[in-house]
Amino acid sequence: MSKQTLKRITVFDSTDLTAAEEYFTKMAESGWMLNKFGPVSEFTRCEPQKLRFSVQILYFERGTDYEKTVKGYTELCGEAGWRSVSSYAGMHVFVTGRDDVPEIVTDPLERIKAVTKQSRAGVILLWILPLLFIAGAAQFILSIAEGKSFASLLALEFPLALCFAALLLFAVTKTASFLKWRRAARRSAASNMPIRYYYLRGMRLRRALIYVGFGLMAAAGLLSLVGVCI
Amino acid sequence: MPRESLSTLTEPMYYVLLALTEPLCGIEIMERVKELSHGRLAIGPGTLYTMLAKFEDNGIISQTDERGSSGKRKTYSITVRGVELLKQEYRRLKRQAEDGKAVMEELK
Repeated sequence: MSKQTLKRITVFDSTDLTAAEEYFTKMAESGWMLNKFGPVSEFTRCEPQKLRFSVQILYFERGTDYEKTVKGYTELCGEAGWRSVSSYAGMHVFVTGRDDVPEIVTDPLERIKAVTKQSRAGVILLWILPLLFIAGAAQFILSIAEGKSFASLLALEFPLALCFAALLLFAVTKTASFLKWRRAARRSAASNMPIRYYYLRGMRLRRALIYVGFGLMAAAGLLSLVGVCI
Repeated sequence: MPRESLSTLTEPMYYVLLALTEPLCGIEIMERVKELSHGRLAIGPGTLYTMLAKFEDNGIISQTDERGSSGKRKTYSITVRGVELLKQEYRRLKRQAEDGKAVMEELK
């Protein structure tokens, strides 16, 4: 009996809207319909079909009744032909099987504003994380400068320095990617050109760098264990 | 939520207000805007929703629970303040067209 459900890791940034749409479209064409969206998304077996997906960031100002606003937004999209599939962390996935239905957001500046606001909070948080390990990294550099043996630093200083490096790589990659996208998006909007979001290929390259970062952190954990044992 | 200044309107905003001179629900507004602009302008539901929220916050339109011609609830209509804004925008656009008329004649 063939599988009826499938789970896939689907970590998308706010600037990866097109990549997400592309991915869900390809899955539907392969016979897998998105059922639940999140860091691990769930797909259900379906007839292979050509569908249009739209991933929108619903970002509202403080004081807005979020539940009521999302309900109104998805109802209006539904009337226009876009069915709400699922949502996670402010990103809402809609689908339609029709070609004549207009895009959900036809004002490019509105989409840039939503993506920028959503991304900004995340980017700021990313830079706080490496700061938690900066003392450890500084201690490691100082210890090396003082001539301490590397083996003596394996238990604590080196793993902390590795964590700092990994989180810094993560923060730099994400920030650079967001700033690059924002600059290009503003230029496109100013010249009335379509706004480009990251496609699957660009997103996968960035994700590879992030995996390197996670790999470094895992290595740090292992080294720490080795250091303690020694 | 702080009020935003709406001293001038974008093209989609102008057409939405034109459409709301009669009570309409969301999907009817989208269709009416397309009709008024002779198919030139299409507004997405997401863009429209954000715009209607902004208009409502600024007292330019009001929402009722009456059923529109399509039978749907939640219709919108322009307020007195909205009509004033629309007339102001129409006069501004008319002046712009008139100011450009002489120049455009010379360019022919």
